Amino acid sequence: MNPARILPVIGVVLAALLVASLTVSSQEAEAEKTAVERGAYVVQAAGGCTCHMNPGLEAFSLSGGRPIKTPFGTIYGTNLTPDPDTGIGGWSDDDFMKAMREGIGPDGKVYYPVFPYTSFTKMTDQDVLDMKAYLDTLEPVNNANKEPEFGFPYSARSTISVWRGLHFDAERFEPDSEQTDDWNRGAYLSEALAHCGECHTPRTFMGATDEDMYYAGSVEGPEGELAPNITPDEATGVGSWSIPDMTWFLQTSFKPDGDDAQGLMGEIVTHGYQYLSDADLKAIAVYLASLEAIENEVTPP
Amino acid sequence: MTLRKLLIALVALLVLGIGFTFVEAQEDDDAPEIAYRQRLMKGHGASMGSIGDFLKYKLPYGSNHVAVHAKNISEYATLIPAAFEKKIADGKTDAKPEVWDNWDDFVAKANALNVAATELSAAAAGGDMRAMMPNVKALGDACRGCHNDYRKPEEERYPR
Ligand code: HEC
Ligand code: HEC
Repeated sequence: MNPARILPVIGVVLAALLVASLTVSSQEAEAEKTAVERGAYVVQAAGGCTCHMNPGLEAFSLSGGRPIKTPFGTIYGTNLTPDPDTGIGGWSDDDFMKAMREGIGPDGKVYYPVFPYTSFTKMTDQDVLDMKAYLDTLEPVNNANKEPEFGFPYSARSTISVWRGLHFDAERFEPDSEQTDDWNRGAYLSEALAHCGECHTPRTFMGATDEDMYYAGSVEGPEGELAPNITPDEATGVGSWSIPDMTWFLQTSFKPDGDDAQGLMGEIVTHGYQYLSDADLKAIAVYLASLEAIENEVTPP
Repeated sequence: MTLRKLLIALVALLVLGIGFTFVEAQEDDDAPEIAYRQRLMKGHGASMGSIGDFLKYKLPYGSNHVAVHAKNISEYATLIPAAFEKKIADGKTDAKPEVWDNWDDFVAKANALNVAATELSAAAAGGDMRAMMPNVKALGDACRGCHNDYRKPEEERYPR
């Protein structure tokens, strides 16, 4: 064959190869980017994971150390940055999955359910892995985790194992085919990610959420904060709130009367919920409005 | 009981009684100021609630409505320092005593509210609802920024 004829063919083939490889790598980059981006959104839906803030740093960082007061003692948010020594830098996807789903660390340690794995266990595989992809991109900060300051019997991790046997089921979220897509999305967001019930459902003396009082408000939420009744009860809950009222609240923390939510609620709106899409916030509102209205006046002790 | 002891007990009771009446009288004296402060704050809330209604229901009245409510808040904000200047940390108030420990910071937060509200007012003049959202959220940060530090949280508020 005439080399003069072959050259352009080689050129075309090379060019095609080049284009193909570029497309593949940009597709990979796209996939990579979207996993991280999706993960960032999952973190926002979880309220920004603000329990893991580092109070020692000026800038917002999930490198842990924040004290969280509970009726059982004080516990400290852990380091979620990819620092290999003190954070989750050395964790495999399976390690992370096990922590979120089963509440068990890579070293086999069972976590106190202050870490709401009781909610996160309901997350989809995809959301858990996307979350990790995002956390892996954070600025690594070296900040060692602190042991909780719990009194006996809570100080013994074996107590948690007993507790888990009684109160924890590692189960995924099951959509309800009788309900609308909006409702199912809202239920998934509230129960698995946003974990509203971890604060708004009161706890039994065993520290388990009281399922008969689902979302009916808790006098002693985390940090001793009072979390109001958010069931649709007219007199004692948010029965008078419209769907747009609730959506607006989750976006701005302003209640219908123009007053704001302070403390933990204001914080998770600021660092998390406010960034959710209008459709997702509406879905949460639709789900809340469908809950059983429970009459429960939550007043300080 | 000896007469001496009885006398001491009587005097003690009297002193205690006077003490209580004094505290109560003090609280009564402060009542109008507390009421005024809280009504001023409710005014902030009413304007904020109106801005919320306008944006969440996309009411068709023209964005000058948001601009006027935001302007109101910026003007209310200029009244906060004078209204809170006198230290009243007891009685039916949710103001934390820290207001008067960190008075300059409290005033700075009132000024920050003025600035944030003025900016929303200007943004609202543009008429684009989406474009107003960052300013609405900044305004929220200004309310919450003061409340987190200087207004008691839900569980510590006086019973209503
Ligand atoms: C970390 C704990 C926590 C989580 C998680 C949480 N909340 Fe709250 N919430 C609170 C606290 C504390 C308050 C009271 C704040 C205040 O009024 O200043 C509150 C207030 C509220 C209010 C105001 C009710 C009223 O009558 O004033 C609503 C509505 C609400 N939360 C809805 C939600 C929803 C919906 C979710 C989940 C998407 C959620 N919260 C998740 C702690 C939490
Ligand atoms: C510079 C500090 C500061 C700023 C800024 C501020 N507030 Fe307040 N607010 C307070 C304090 C202090 C109280 C408690 C007053 C009391 O109970 O005596 C309060 C109480 C309130 C109350 C309850 C009033 C009542 O009836 O008891 C509402 C509602 C309120 N604020 C709304 C707002 C809104 C909305 C904004 C923003 C537009 C705002 N505040 C900005 C300091 C502030």
